[in-house]
Amino acid sequence: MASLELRGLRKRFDGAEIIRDVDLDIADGEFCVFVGPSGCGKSTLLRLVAGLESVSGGSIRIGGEDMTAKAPRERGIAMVFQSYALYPHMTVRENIAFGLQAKRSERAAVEEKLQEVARILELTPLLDRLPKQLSGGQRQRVAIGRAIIRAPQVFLFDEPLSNLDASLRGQMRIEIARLHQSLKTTMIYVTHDQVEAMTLADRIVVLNAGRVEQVGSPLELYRHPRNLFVAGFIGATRMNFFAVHAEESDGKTVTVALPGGASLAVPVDRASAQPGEALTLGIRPEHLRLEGEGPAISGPIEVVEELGEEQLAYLRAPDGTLLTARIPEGGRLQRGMAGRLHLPPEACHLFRVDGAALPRRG
Amino acid sequence: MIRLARHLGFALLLLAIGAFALFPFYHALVTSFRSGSFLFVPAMLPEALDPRNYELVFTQQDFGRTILNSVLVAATVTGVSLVLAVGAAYALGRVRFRGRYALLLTILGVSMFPQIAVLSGMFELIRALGLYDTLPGLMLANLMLTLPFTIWVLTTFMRELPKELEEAAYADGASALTVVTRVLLPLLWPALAPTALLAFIVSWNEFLFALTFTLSEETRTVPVAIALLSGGSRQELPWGLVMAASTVVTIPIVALVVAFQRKIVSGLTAGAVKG
Repeated sequence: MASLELRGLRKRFDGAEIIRDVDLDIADGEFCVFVGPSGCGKSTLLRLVAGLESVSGGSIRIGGEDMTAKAPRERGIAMVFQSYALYPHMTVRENIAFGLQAKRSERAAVEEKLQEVARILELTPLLDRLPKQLSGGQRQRVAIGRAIIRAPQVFLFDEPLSNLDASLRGQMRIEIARLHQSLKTTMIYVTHDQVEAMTLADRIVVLNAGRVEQVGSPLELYRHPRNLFVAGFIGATRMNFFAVHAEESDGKTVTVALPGGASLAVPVDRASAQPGEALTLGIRPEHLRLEGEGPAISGPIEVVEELGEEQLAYLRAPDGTLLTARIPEGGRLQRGMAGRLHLPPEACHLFRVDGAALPRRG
Repeated sequence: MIRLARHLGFALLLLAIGAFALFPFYHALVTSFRSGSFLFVPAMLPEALDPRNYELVFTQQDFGRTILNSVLVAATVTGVSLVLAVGAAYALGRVRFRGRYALLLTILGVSMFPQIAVLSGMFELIRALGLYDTLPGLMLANLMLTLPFTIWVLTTFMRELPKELEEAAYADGASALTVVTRVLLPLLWPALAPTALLAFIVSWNEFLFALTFTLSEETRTVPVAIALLSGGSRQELPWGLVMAASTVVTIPIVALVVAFQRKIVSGLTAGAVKG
């Protein structure tokens, strides 16, 4: 078990900056998720930690020891790959034991650990099969077994569930969470799926274009996104944004004019905006209300997606933006209806032109 | 009806190709059992099985020694080629470094020169190394023939292996040598077996180097020995002996093909990575 420190980490590929100046601390035993759109550098960052790529600048410390120039096998890491990467010519038993044999451990000790890992992952009856005789979920478990038998200081997961179908993914997610609880080892988990990020992480690192946009607990990111990118990325359905102008501010609230004319006083935490300043207002689809008081936006409902337990309604606002609303019961809105959505002020986010969020209360 | 005609046509084609490929060997086989004036009988079928030629081949000279020489040279050349080629293929197929492509082209370029063009230079080299008229000298020369294509073929195969496997092994704590020998090599088997076979055959059949770089009977290899077989008089070409010797030296190659055939298993990588 170990903590992890990344300082000023940089990676260039053929002149293109993939990782730009990443500083990050991951505490001992923490479950940390790297999340971001494809191409944001999250997998590269993980591979830098693993030692599969060499850094172009900066340093990596694992458990207080400088590992920047060390080979993967000296770093005390174990990695689970997206494609499983099982050795096809070896049985499950050989696959799992490979890492220990590479360390030249004693045969009896290897066998004992192998049995224990197989028991934890329910692989005991499959030990003598070849990878091609296993299902996707079983292969994934073998890949995890191969990692845990080495008792590494840090586990690295590179999108381990993205090749599984939806139901199996949910199941494996729970198994990985359980594994973390029982092993209490530091884990770094890369995913593009923000549901996985929210459900598994102690802390989420949101990456974009090789930079860390924000680091925080799932709820922190959900409630206090630091900028437009994080606000748009975190959340099962994307946050609604529209352009507004500040009317006045008094340090506790910033009043903005909504499309359609209504004014909305958004509570903020010690922040102000110049009258007339252009801002972006953000509100999550699940916070828009059909009933209620206060400011609202009206417009025709253009599309309704019926999900049974809820509806996703798309409303065309007077300024032309399309607003998404999650209505918690099915069947309430139909396409073509005139809609009216209320914006609870405390659920609104404000962002400046450069994307930085105005601090919120609560 | 049309289908029948098509099948028939296909069968005839196969027969023609088979006959073309096998007739020379059949002829050699039949001739090897003939002696004296029977050698010049144009009949297709042997009149009698006369094993005298086979006896003569081994009694007239030390043909067993010759075969052993050939086996030694071919086996060593194949072994050394494969070891070097696997290492080179790993570097050329897996490691990113400057000049990799140029190096690959150079290796291919080596195989471009006709043997006869490098013969005199190679002769000087071998004499300078003190390897003239020795088997190691011949092995060294033959490596020039086998290495380019073994490296080239294995590099191509090495590139096809999923990169994650190698990375997984590194992450599992393996050293580069372990990765090559325990992970990549077993997966290269389907490529390794035929490549080894080809290298063996090239070395086995090699004539020009063997003729030039060896002198004594003790270092002679099979193709040279057969070419130098002499008959009763200077005017007589001992066809029966030549054919008997040729038939004998075909056997190791056939045996090898049969043995390796089982090793050439495809689809070994199935189940490694999803997709």
